Amino acid sequence: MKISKYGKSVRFAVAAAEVMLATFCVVCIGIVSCNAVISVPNRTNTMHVNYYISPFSKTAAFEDSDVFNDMVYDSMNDIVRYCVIRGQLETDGKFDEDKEIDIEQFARHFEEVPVTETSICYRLGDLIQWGQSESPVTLKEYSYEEVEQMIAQAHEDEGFVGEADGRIIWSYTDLETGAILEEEITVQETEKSGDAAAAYEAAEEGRFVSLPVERYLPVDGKSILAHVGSVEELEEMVFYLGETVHMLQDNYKSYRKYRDYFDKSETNFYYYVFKEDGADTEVYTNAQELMSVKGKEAAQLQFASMGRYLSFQPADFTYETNTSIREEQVRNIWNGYRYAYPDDTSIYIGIDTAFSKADMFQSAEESYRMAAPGYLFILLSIFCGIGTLVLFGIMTRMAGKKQGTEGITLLWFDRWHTEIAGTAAIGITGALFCMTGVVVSELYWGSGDRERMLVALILGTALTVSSFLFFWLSLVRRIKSGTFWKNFLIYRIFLKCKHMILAIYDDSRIVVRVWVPYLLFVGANAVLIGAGGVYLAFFLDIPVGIFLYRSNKIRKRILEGIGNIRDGNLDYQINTERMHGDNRILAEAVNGIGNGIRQAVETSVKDERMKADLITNVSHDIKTPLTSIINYVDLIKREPVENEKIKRYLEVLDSKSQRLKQLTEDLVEVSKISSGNIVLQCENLNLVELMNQTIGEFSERFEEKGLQVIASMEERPLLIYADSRRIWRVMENLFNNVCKYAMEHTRVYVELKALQEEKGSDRVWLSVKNISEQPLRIGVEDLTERFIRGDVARSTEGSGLGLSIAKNLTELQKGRFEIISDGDLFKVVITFPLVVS
Amino acid sequence: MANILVCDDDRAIVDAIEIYLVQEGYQVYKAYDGVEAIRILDGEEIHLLIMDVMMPRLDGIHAVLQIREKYSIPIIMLSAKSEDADKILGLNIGADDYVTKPFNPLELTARVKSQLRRYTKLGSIGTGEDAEQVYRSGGLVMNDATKEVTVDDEPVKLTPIEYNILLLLVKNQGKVFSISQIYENIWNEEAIGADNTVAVHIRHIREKIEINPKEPRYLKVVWGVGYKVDKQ
Repeated sequence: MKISKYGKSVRFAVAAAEVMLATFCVVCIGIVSCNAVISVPNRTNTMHVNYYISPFSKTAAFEDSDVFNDMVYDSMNDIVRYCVIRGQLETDGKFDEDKEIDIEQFARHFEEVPVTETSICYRLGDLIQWGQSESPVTLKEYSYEEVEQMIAQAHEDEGFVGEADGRIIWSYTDLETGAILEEEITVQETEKSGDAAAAYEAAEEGRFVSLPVERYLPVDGKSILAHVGSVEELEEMVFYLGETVHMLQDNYKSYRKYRDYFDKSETNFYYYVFKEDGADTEVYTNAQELMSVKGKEAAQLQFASMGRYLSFQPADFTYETNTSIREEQVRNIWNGYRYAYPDDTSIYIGIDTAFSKADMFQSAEESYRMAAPGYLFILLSIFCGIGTLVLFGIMTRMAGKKQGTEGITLLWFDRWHTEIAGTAAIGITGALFCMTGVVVSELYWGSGDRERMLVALILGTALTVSSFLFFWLSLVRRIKSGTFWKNFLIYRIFLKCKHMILAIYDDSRIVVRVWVPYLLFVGANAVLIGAGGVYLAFFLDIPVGIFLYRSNKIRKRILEGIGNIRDGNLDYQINTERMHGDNRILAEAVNGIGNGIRQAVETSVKDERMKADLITNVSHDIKTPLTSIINYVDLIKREPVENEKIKRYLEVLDSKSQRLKQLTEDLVEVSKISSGNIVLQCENLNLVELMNQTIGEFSERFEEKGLQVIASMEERPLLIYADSRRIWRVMENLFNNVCKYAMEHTRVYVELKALQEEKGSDRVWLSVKNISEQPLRIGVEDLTERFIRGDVARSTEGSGLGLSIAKNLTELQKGRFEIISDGDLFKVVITFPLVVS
Repeated sequence: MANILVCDDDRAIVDAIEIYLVQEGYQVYKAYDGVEAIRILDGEEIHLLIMDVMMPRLDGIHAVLQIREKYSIPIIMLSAKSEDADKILGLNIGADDYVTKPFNPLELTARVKSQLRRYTKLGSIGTGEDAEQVYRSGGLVMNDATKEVTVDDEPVKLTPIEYNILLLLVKNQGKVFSISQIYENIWNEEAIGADNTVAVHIRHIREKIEINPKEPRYLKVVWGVGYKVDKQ
């Protein structure tokens, strides 16, 4: 896939689409998850149980689902308990409030071996009412003696028989066999008390005994006190009474609930419990109307025809079902209640899978059916997920590639140190993720508000995805631009350290050579001062001082060499004897530089000389044919030529050939001067004399042009040290220039004087001023360049080298040559050092 | 008339010189290199030799060296080499004059005449007029008794002041006179201030007695010092 660089809007759109798709994907998954959970009422309609119906494991029929199985299992549990309670509270299948309940038997009915003797019996209705009004039974405390007396009193009222031979004889007609048994017990107890009775009773004294406030009396209408022989027995009975009241009250509540659910209201759940204790059989069922034929076998057949059934005979170890409830599960229930059942018990459970009655099975079935498998949302979430991944890939590839720029463009955040950015990324994204999770689950499990939950899910997911994208793209940009590792703070610190170490390592020679000896020196000094005092240290320091002195001397020598070379003394060589180490390298380098410069200068001088030679040779070669030209022009002129035109042409030829001659001569001269290829024969000469001679030489030419020379010269001789013929050449060129370019009939001013300069050296100062005939069209600087003439057209005679030669010759003889022009005033100033005779 | 050998490898130049010299009435022999020149010299009676320096086979310098072993005729070197060093070399190996190319034909013929006069009359023949009042420097002769001045036997007309200036210099040959010295000597009054009167006179004298005033043979300018006449 080719990803070209896109603008900001495209990138923003892609990012927004990515966030939206990801959010939508998560929301779809959320909706699927929500729809997959159903809330089912449990057996007694008191609370709801949530079931997660995986869209992939959902079976077609409700009755095959775990929900159904759990419900059946729970209902079975209820039925087993219900039948126990029914046995307690009912007589012949009907609630019997007049049923007599033996409190000891009831309280101890969990015990493996049931208690069969009769103690105190209460009416069922009384007990239930007692429990409903006060539970536990209100107790009052009495002292032991008091209770003893109260028991005694109760028996008196009853008709206490009296004591004989230490026996207490009971005489009450409560139950059929009770009197005899009582008698035996009392006899035994009395025997027990014997001699120790006094001590035993003494220990019992001072104890408090709790007695119930007797809201209801036992069936015979006598107080509980009248039914016991001792305080201890009383306490036991009181405990049984409390337990019985409490349990009956509880069981009655359950009984009503179960009865309402299983028997009174409509239900799709049928049960048939068949208790068989010898000849005594009891049947508990809500399916009488369904059963055309009574009897266990008929019931079994009937139930087996139902949609879902379960039959269990614990004694025969037969278990049959078409549900997925396992036998162990049923036996677990059974074991909890087997005390209440005879061994020969049959339990049948059946469910009408048409769910025609409006009960909890029906509503559960409805919920289960409604639990949409959400294929649409699953598909959507898959599509969105794929889209998210594709966009994610595109964004990853696009990251950092900004339109109109080369390379990777980094955001401000991308320049953060990697660790800090990573912490921020994990922290912010993680926090958003956790917050979203907490809020959504809170809303889902808590209030169950679907809409608010979805809003929270959308917001949270969008924020989390945005955050993740931002940090992920930053990471991608970092890796693309190669700054991921470089931006690590630790890496930076590591680099700094590395550079520092490298810097020290690079300078290691200097470090070693300066600091190690220095530290040794200081250390040795310290040791010596410690060991032998200042004088010993002083002796050590003398060679150090000598060493420092010598190295400074060598440095001075090198500096002298550099100064010499700088001043142009290129032949200078530093004496490298007795130099060592860096100083020697330095000195040899300076010598090398000097040699290099000298060679360069020599080469350039040689080149210039070769150039001059070339010009000289060429000019020789020009001169030979030029000789012929001049000669034959002259010869023609000697012939009698009638034609005026030819005469005029001859004049032109004559003047041009003469000019060519002048040009070749000047050319040779200027090349010689500039290459320094001339020998000067300098002597002291009087410039005043020379100027007079020069003016004399030019007097006629000046007169020809009507130029008047106004000379102002010092009378005393002004001596300069120069080559007289070269100075003449300078003056000749200068005056020739004046003759050629000065306006006719003007004055030429020549001024010559000694001038004291600031630096103290006097100079001879000569100026020649004239009025130019034609305006100067070029700068004065250019006038002294070779082949430059004031008239650009070069129509006038001359080679254009005159002033150049004059200037070069002047400067060769340590003079200064300056041209000043002010309008038509043309002025040449030449100065030479004045020689004081 | 005199026989003149012209030697140059450039035939055009030889022919031009021949024309000038024939016009003056000389017999001209032509050679185009040093070997040829020596052969002609050996075969003919030649009174003056005009010799180029740069030539094939045998160049002017070596030819002159060989010629000077046998002949004492005047030799004028004619060369495109115009350096001082070239001139000095030419004169030192035995040439009597040195003319640089391109030359002025009139100057060359004047020099030829001058050399021939000296060779035929002054140099070889010589005169007996050793009178006290006759001063000479090379071809320049001043007879103070008759106030006559000749250069290579050619009479020259000078003004009295010019005559006196030249006489002063010729009398004191080799000595350099400054402008003020000349002025004081001639005008017999102290020179006041700088003056170029003397310089102008000197120039006039040079124009009269010199073949090429810019390259004077007799009255020389010592620039910045004065003027002199060399001993010859």
